[in-house]
Amino acid sequence: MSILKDNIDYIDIKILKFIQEEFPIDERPYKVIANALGVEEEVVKEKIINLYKNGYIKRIIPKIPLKNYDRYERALVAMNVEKEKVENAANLINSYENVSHNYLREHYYNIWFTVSAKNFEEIEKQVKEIAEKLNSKNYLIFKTVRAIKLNTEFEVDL
Amino acid sequence: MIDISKLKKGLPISDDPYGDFAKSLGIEKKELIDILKKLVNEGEIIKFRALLNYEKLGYKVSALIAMALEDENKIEKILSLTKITHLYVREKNINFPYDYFAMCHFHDENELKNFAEKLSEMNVKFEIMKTVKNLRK
Repeated sequence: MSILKDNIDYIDIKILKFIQEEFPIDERPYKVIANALGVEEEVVKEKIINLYKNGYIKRIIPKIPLKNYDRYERALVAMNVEKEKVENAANLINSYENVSHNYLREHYYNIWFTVSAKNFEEIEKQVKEIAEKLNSKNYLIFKTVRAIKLNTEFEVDL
Repeated sequence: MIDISKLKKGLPISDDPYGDFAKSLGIEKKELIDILKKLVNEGEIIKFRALLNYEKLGYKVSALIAMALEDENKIEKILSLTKITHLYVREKNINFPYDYFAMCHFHDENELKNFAEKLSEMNVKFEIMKTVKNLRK
């Protein structure tokens, strides 16, 4: 499979592979990457900024250990929202700081989002509040028991 | 010490990611690097890494797939069938009796169809919620 679009070259691919594995904690992270890949720091800097602008890189964030994950109660919420209200719903749900994912899906329950809080009652209360604001009568809350896999790495083929 | 939740939105992807992030926190870059290294040493964070856009990388179809599994014997096989980035065990809801929720990625519709067929062959009860749109951007 080739993904050679947006003038992506093999150095871009090498960079993507490298930084999805690790983005160095260093005063000059681009230099660390450049040294590892045998290219110039300026090239790495330019390419990463371009890859971000072109949407290949979403974010650079810390990977949190699974044990720290358990400090909060978490849940997946499925909500049936009228089609006309999807945009409102998206804005409302995203306005809560403790929402991490929020997707429109092909299903009777069309909006699926994840929330976390100190305890489950807080989650229930918040979801109820959202549902009331959106006039949604039908929603489900799936309390998270545990995560089995949190691997977001992708094969980057050329 | 800095608030870890401030890190959730990610580093600025700029000429100087840590420098700009330090500025937004009102501290020196050197100080930020020291704090981050300390957080790694203390096991609060493992490392920084980039999240890539799967769609741009050729995974055009994604779906949340809920499965009912009595035990975990089938998990390894299921994980080998396609690209699964997240897999959570959740409490079953009477109205939606599945306990394993997997975020699955496919190159095309056909791969999704094949995956669904394999699950059926394995006698796994499941439901597919295909991704239409990320609402959180």
